[in-house]
Amino acid sequence: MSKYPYLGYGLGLRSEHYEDVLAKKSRVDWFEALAENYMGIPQSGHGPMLETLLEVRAFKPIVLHCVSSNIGGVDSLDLEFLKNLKNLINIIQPEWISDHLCWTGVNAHNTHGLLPMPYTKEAVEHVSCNINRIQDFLGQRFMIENTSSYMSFNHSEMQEWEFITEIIKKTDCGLLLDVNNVYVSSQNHDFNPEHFIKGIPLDNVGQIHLAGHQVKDSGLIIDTHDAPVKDEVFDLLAFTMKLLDKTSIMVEWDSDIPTLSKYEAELFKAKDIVERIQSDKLKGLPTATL
Amino acid sequence: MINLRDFQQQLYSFISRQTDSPDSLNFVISQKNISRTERLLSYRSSYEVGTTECIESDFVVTGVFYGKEAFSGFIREYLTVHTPDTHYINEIGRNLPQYLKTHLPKDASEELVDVATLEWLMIESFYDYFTLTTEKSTLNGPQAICTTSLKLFKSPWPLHKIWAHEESHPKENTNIMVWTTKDRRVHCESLTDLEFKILNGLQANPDLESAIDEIDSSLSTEVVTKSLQEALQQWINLEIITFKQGE
Ligand SMILES: [Fe+2]
Repeated sequence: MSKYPYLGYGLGLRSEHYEDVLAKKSRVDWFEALAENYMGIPQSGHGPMLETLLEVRAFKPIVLHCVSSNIGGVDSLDLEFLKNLKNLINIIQPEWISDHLCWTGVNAHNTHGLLPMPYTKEAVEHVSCNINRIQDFLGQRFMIENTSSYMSFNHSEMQEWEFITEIIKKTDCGLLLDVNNVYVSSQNHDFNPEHFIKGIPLDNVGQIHLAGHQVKDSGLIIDTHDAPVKDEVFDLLAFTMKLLDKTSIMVEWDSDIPTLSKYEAELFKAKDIVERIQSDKLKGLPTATL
Repeated sequence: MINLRDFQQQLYSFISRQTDSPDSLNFVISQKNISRTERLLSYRSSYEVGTTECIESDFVVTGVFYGKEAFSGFIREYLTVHTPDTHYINEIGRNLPQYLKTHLPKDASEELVDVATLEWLMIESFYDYFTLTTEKSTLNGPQAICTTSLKLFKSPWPLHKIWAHEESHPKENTNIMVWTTKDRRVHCESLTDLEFKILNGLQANPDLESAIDEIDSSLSTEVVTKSLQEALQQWINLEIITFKQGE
């Protein structure tokens, strides 16, 4: 039984689609907004961007997604950032808030990338402590997302899904399960993605991400968010949804952003897959393979 | 076993080119025929491409004047001195005009620094438009409230022409204004001395009557009122100011 409400099928809210969304041309159930875009440089304000988000909020649920919490970083948490985030939460009242299980920089430098953690006991303690602090500060459960990674480390003491499980045990935080990221990392690091899905605490999964990726000549897979979702990722989604209750699903698309209708079409492919699995479940049938 | 702090510092050093040897990071595993070096370089290249592309797209005309190839190298050099330290990637160009001033290439065109200054102001204008709120005024009379995105400055170059045509123009003292509109476009135009003075005054104080008082007393009231009326209507149409009748 998930600890989060079920919102249905959502998309990332992109400025390219504001006009269509505000004209209620979108057929999706909810939107994910990138929190930093609405938090302002250098200070928060009720500027036009935030006004737009509030307009959308009036007719669709919103969840907030961040990239800057740096919960895996060894620098102390950025209180200014968290205060800005809390202000935004008070204004928008999102269904939930998430960020990535990663580090973004060190010694006050920011790489603007999502850098992978070593899966060590020290890192479990460190990240859990940060998540608990954030949850105390925000007064609500925080959701962490598994990232895609291109390197692994010989001092890791556990698998990624065990690392996530240990953190959830210590914090009861939510999990934003990025199925594309599981697939990408499984191929880059040679593990079975189904083991990952079976190994995580499914009750804490509140949201699913899907996205497109690119394969380099060497075989390294890069999580690019600039293309349609690959069939292998839809297959893994199907496997996941056989194990999960109804879970809110969204597709990420961050560069070479298509028209709203093309973007929605990608989401509705996922919807078809999930509805087929759910109807098989209802009939008590063994769930069909794709 | 390497601790978390050393691990992050060593990886950051490699990604930001403070160290160059992937072999010193022997905790990164080579597997599936994909080497440690390629894996590490994928992070360095994503950092460099992300930050360089951001500056290149924010300083397009500066790049044209600098020379496209050479500008990428200059940006990388700039980023090693002014390493990104905020969440907001577009902030990373904030110090570029100043850095350019002290690291000008020998054959640089004279207007290069001013062009870079203009392009930074355009970025600031955009973000100020979308993030800053106009202070609620407590004044009672008629008010002309400037957009938070409005930036005014003087240059010995006709920067609005240089920026629009992406080519040199003869030196010419120019008042420049930059502002952003609801359609997310950033604009750059020139102003007469009087218009510059009026907008400057209104930025500091939206009260129309005091704005008129502030304007050079050597000009007749009729001239000021006529110029003001014409300019105000134009600025309202261009989304530079909003007019409030007051109580
Ligand atoms: Fe994701």
